[in-house]
Amino acid sequence: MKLATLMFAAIACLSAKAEEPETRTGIAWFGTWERGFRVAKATGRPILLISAAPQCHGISGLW
Amino acid sequence: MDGSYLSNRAVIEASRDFVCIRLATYESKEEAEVMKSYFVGASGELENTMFALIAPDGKKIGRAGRSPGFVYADAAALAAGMKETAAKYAPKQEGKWELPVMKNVRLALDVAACDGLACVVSLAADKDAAAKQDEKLAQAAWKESIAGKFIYVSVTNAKELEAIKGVTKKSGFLVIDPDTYGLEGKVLAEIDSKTAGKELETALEKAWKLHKPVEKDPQEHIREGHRIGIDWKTEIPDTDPGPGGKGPR
Repeated sequence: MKLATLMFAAIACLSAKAEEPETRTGIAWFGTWERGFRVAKATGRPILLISAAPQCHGISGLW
Repeated sequence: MDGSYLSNRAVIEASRDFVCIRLATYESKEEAEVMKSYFVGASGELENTMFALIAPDGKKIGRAGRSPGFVYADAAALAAGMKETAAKYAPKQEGKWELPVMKNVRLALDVAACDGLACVVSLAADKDAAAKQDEKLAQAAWKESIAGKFIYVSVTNAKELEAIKGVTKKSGFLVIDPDTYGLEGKVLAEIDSKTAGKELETALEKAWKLHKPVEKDPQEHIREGHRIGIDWKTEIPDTDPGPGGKGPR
């Protein structure tokens, strides 16, 4: 009986983990100054501005 | 780009009270002038990276630098600084959150590849149709379950999609998997242009699960990229003085 209870608990745990929603997310970036600045003025929100080159040593696909 | 600060959970949370703008450093003459107005490094030229917090009217807040690490000791300090800054501004409820698009498909694919994200192309027949589509997509894009999960671009000229395999629709929301160098892409899902609201959110969430990001070894990526002849051309000269740039030493 104890073994069955333990097995049931283990299966329930594993199922719960499998059903856990994927929460990976990140900062939502505007890709142009014109649009981002327009939205900042319209919404009254401050701006987090960064720049980076989406290429390294001439090779794209890497910041 | 220093990902350690910007991928921090507290910073991501704090970013939701900001308009976050990430510019590709050497891809626009006009944007280069904007960046230089906020920060120029010791070289006097536009350098590879920069960071600033800016008020809604365009005035710089505090110090700017090459990265958040130049101004804040660590990610926790950045998150705290951002929260403190955001608290000083009362958001306007009626302000519209537009679709956060990239300048063109070429950049969108490249940036998506850099981020390990899929790209959503809003493809429409003309500017009027594009405006309506983009507004629908924007409403989904800013939902918490979707924000930060895609790179977006809006297109009315199908020729911009030549590097993407599997496009069958003449209009709609195309979810694209970029290749590792962000030079080509393939369709993961095509969502009908009439899709809107909750249905569009669900379709995007479903498509997001189809994209499997691949971990990149930077040195291997560069080595292999050189071997196969990749040579990304920037719109304006790369003036970074560091080892990764082409500026004067």
